[in-house]
Amino acid sequence: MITIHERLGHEVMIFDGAFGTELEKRGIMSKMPELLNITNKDEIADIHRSYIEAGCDFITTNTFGANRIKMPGEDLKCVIESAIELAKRHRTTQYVMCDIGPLGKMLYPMGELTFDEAYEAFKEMVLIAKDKVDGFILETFTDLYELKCALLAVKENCDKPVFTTMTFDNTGHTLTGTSPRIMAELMSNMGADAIGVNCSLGPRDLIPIVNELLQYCDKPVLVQPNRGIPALHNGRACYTLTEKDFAMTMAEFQQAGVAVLGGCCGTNPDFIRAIAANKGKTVPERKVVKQTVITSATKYLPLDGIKVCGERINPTGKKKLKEAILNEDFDYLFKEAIKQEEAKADLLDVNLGVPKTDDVANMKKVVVQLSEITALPLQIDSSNPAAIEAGCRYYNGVPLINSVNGNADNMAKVFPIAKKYGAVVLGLTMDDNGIPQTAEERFAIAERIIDGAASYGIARHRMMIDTLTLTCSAQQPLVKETLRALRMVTDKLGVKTALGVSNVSFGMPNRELINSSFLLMAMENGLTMPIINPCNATMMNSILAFKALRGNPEDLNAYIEDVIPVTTMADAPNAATNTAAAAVTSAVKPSELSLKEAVKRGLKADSIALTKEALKNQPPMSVINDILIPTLNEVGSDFEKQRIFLPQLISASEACKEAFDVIKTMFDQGNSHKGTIVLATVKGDVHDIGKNIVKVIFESYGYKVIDLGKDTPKEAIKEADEKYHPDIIGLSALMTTTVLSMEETIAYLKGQGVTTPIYVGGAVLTRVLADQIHADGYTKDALEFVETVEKISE
Amino acid sequence: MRVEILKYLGYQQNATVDAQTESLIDRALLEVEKLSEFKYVHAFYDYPQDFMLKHQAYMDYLKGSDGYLLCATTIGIAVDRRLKRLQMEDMAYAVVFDATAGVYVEHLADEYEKKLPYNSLGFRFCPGYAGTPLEDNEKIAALVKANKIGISFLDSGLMLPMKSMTGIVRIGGESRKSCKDCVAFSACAYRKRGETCYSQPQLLTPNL
Repeated sequence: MITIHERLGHEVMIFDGAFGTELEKRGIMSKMPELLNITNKDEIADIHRSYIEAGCDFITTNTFGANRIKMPGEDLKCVIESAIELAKRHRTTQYVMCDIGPLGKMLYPMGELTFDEAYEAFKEMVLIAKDKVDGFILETFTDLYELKCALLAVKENCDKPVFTTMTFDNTGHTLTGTSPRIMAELMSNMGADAIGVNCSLGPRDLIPIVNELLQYCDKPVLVQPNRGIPALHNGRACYTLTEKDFAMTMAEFQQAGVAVLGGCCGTNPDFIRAIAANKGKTVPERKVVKQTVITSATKYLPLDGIKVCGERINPTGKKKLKEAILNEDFDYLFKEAIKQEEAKADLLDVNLGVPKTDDVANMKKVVVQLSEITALPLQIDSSNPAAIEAGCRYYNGVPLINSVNGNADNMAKVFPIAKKYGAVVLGLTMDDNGIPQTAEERFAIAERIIDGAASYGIARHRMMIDTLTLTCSAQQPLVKETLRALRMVTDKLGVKTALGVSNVSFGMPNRELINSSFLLMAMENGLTMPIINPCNATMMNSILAFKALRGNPEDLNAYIEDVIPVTTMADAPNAATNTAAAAVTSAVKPSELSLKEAVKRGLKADSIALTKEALKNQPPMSVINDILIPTLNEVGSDFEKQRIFLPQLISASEACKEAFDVIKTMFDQGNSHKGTIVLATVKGDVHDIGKNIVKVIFESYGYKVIDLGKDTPKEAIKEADEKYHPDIIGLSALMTTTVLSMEETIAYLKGQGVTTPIYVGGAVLTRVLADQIHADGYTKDALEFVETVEKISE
Repeated sequence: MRVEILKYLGYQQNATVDAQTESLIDRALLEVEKLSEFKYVHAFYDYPQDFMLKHQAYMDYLKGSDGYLLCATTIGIAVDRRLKRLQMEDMAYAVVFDATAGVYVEHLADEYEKKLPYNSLGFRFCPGYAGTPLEDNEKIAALVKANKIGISFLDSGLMLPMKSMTGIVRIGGESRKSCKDCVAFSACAYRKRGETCYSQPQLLTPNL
């Protein structure tokens, strides 16, 4: 038999059509159609036969949902093996493809199914099927992360061909925001054999999606549309599109370059017969220009022009960040991410290398959670290949790896990771002998790295080179070598480049001037990706100015619109560290406003300024006891009397927290807080807005809050209790169903000997319910909670 | 929509609305509208489902109707993502955004239902009303294939995206919202002050 690879992409091949629709027609549709492989063997084999007779090249096994998440407790081995046997019963020359669909549960962090759990579920299917089928089709995915997980499960456990399709809608992306080009980039880099779209819409509505795939996907493209969108009537799906109209658009797709045609919901053997007219035709050649591209799940970022990589999540030389990583206070990192995105970074560096921390575990956690907070693609930055692998594995998109170098061992460790996870790699022009002095030597290492990548099957467009910035104060003559090397790499190797810019100015006065001057020189020599602090206005302005002066009219407009005003030279550094706090400022001048008034009105920037002002004349404790606490009491009383409402209460609390933060810096260590509270939304609940309100209120009263987040396992709460010795534990639940989880959590904690009082709150809780689940206390809202805790600690 | 949003935020009869909250609502309305990807699927039936037969409240609601639609609707996952991030940036606005998004999905669903080609559709009856079980959300979702518009369920029965609903819409007949069979009847804060969760409070503000 000719292999799939010998035909795929050369001659047009035909997939079968809908399975559910055929089951419905035969009156045997059920909730778990995969069980029909055991109970209704003849009908299942007959459906396959009807598609074989219609002329398909590929038969899809009836295993779409045969996974342990959708079918817990079922004998999957039996179901899948039977499905394969039935697909083979009438086959002649057709390839049997094991069908794998989504698991029906959203992956963490949006949902609660972890990547590893999902991986195990897919792997189980792959192991059962791999020796009995000709390949796999991963289809109807709407979440890129889940599809990546499924593809890894196939690639890591067998070497059969694998096709992947996603479902896009008329917005031009999947339900989770992934565009066809993002999907194509990741799937192609990770080694899918054919890539496409299925289900979704009727063929005509798919035209823009198919066109985008044809433009960006360098692998054979597969298209399996629905027979339009059905009306549902008394449990039946009613479709109106005819096979003739269906086939007409499919023929257009074929002429445009689609290599594999098939059908999804609503199609039947007549539809497949109609499109089988294209079978065996030569697939028209397409020209796909590959660029250097990284992505998140929702952002496609070609690394061309100038792209800013935000350097703020890298502990080198940043004391606060180091501390945050040591304490696993990732909220601090996430806020840095948000700040950089607001400051128009294009991607973010993530480096968590702090001694005595588990950088592998931390990288996994941070990469996963950042995906919920920022849409920007990430640069996974570590000298530890295990941390790089953790970052790449759990990242949702095409990451940039920083870095590989000219050392052979290093390449042997990093390139297989890049290959498997489809990453772009940044190569540093150094090796065992350190950083060479001349541009020529650095260029030679760059060449060696690019060749090394090629030997692992990583194409040149997935490589970038960093020619390494040296400090002007210590090695002044070498600065120009970095720039010369940049020019050589850009011109002769044709790859994109990166530099960590601010290294150049260590030990120099007015570092910013040196940095921005060097940045301009580097850009003029071909630099693509400066790694800088995007919150620095001078640096960002330099980029805008550079682009504007290069002559593109759009860049001139961008300069006029985006340039950040820097009033005087003296103000420049301050103007740079900017916007978030300044966002909430009053129209009144601080001098006309009291601190109390600023806090009450939720004016963050004013509260900060006025606290600093107050500290000039008053000792810190007096500012707390004589101004902030009475203000909070007043705000609380207004809230209870319904003179103010939730948004105002929160605004005031946030402003007060800012004031406390200013005062905290006056004390030597971070022990200035009143007490510690551990907060968590219980397992099974992802609605954490109530818990976050409690957090803000407690922080405004000067408490240290350990926030364990949402969907928190009971074990994590116990660990936090041991680690932080809190004064109180607060649990939140939104729904009746999650109150059960709360009860379980409390029973577990008490059983484990936790003696810290456990308080509960949330929309459905009442005092009676709280007693029933053996909570130590209940309060109706955040304010009552903090007041209760204040009383206890008195 | 503004009054509904304020009601979610705890504003009651005769409360005065402050300018700051109003401007947060303005901002949230714009942003929620921009981020929303409204989707709605429905299925027509002229006979009751098994799960409906177990609860008189469903049958009361459908009394005298000429069939009904099951529906599922959502404004999409981008709203959830934004809310997550806002909670790190600005909690006061996050709370307003959350309330606005909740009201917005109801509003769009109402508008969508007005355009459906059926005469005299009733109000949307969602699982949880009148003591009906929240678990029925999943049953309705399966029947209308809500997974096709991206709705999934956590083990606890919560829906993702968070601003999603399933419901039943009666065709013809009539029935009004009532507190009669509500689980919260005895403890309801709205009732205690003479309001209902489905009535609109009078608020004091120059802009409303």
